[in-house]
Amino acid sequence: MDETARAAYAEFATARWGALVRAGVVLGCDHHAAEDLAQATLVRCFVKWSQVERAHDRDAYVARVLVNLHRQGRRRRWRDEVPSEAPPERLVESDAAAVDDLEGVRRALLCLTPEQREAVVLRVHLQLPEREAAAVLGVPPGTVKSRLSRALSRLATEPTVIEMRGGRQ
Amino acid sequence: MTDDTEQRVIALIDRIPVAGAPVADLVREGVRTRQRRRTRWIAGGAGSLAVIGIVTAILMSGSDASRGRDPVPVASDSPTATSTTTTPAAPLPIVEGRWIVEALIGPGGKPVLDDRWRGQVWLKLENGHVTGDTGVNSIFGRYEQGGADGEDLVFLPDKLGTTLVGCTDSSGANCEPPLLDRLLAVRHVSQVGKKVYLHAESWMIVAVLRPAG
Repeated sequence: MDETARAAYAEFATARWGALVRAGVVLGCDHHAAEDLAQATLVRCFVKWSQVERAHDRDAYVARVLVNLHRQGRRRRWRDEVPSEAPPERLVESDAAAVDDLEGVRRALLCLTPEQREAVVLRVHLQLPEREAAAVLGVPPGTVKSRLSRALSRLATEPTVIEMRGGRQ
Repeated sequence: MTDDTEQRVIALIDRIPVAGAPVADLVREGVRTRQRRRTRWIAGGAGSLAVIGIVTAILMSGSDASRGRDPVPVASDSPTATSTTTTPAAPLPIVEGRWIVEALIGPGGKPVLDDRWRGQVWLKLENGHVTGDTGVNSIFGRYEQGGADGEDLVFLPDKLGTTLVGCTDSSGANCEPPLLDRLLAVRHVSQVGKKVYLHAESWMIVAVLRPAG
């Protein structure tokens, strides 16, 4: 990988990091496991960078890697850690409000099945089109639709969700 | 109501706190992973050429003895189970043991193990050494398991050999299960319950193994 590609990858990874960590939490990981999952996903993208660049929809490609790694991790305990010489900058541990936010989100999502969480991640959080989400999950688009519908119905009754206002601008 | 809920869920997810992206770590680990894979591919390519040469040499020799069921040495200077001096990668318990090959998937994604061979095709993996039976021929060789959690598995092509008993059906076509070919495609391994799944580079399942006995 030359310097230009490496710079493009760095930009790509920086832009998606937050979304991937949040996706990991929605999928059911705790915060550290979500970071591990995001790291493993982006390392896989580095290794397959030429494929990522050629991908028709990069977000769908990354989502597929994320979901597959998470499913593999569910089958066995997640241990795919990336060693680091220096600990990354943390916002979480020292910020009680942030921890409360995280726990609130995790509590609200407890009512969802793993399949419903995947649908929420792909369709609501990563905003993939229904067809792309279906391709990532390996199910028909109608199944994605019904999973999402059930997930949103359940979430609509969750106090933490009811308290929320607005969305992404 | 659904759209409203969706907006609220988006707002909820966006509240999840996130630290800065460890880009330098990602690049470093990516480079390391690439190097590991490149080394394996180079070894694999050289090994494939060696296997072709060895099989050709054995076919050319054409002796009756070489068609017996006893394992044929892949090359006089090839390491064997007793003569090898290289240390295999630290073996992990996930693949060690004697396994019945329950399913074998071809490159096109279709099963290639006929019902008639079911239960007859097996593999034994132990301390980096593999032995087995295709139902027709014995196979023998070496494997390496690695990766952060033991998910990488390769059968070393230059250390993999087989006996050469012929097996043809009524039409004269080769009917031996292509176990050796499929093992050469294996790059990863995973385990669900007692079953072990061998995967290709793309994580497509190549073989499903269940414990023997």
